[in-house]
Amino acid sequence: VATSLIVTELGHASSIRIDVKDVAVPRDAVYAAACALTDRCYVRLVLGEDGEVTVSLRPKAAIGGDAAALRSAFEAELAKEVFRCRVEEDGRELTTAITQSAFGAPTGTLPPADDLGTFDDPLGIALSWEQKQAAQAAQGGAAGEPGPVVHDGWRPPVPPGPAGDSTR
Amino acid sequence: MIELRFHREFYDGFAVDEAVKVYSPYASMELAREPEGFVVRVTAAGLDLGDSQTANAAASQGINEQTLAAEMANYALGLSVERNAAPEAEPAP
Repeated sequence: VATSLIVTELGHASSIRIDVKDVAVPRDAVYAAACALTDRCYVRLVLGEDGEVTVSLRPKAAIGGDAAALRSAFEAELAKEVFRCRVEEDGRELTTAITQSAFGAPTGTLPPADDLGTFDDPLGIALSWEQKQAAQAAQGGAAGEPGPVVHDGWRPPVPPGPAGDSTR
Repeated sequence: MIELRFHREFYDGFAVDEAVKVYSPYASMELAREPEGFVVRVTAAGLDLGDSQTANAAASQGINEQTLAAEMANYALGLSVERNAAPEAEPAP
């Protein structure tokens, strides 16, 4: 964090205003740094007109403390949180991969659920009954054999006749 | 009366609402929504509290309007950070 971009303004005797104008400071870092100081001072976050974050700190009466100490504490905390955010961002891919592998998720890129591409289905498992019958009929018709008739309703299958029928 | 403004960019609406509920036994609090955020008006003087014991306890500890408002703001900030960090809860089936 460039300290030159953190503007400190002494308000009341023991209150302090800090403007964080650095765009490189993530919002989460400001949040975390402000939250870390809530045990010893009252914290308010205000959004400025130029988009800068103004952090108002006022020490709690029971704990005490001066503005300079608060400023140092906040800057140290902010620097720490910015570093933590950067480490988290840099290692996000690795963390995700480790977490996924821990839960047995497949590695690599999966295709979208609605795009299966060429689906190899030699047994026709993914086909409905009608589609399977139509496919068989098309195959039988191409081979010159009569294919099964597709009816609108279900009919019991006809058992094959005796072997000598065809010789009559 | 103290008027606190919580910008939407930093403070979560549910967090502010929860903070108002938590601290409302100790002061009269009025929550209003505005385009840029939430406004909470804290009034400790002339309290009309049902539980006078609570009001007396707060007064005996030297808790004034300003302290109450500041503590409430801290609480709202903490809850906002917590909600911001937590993943979105899945809706119940």
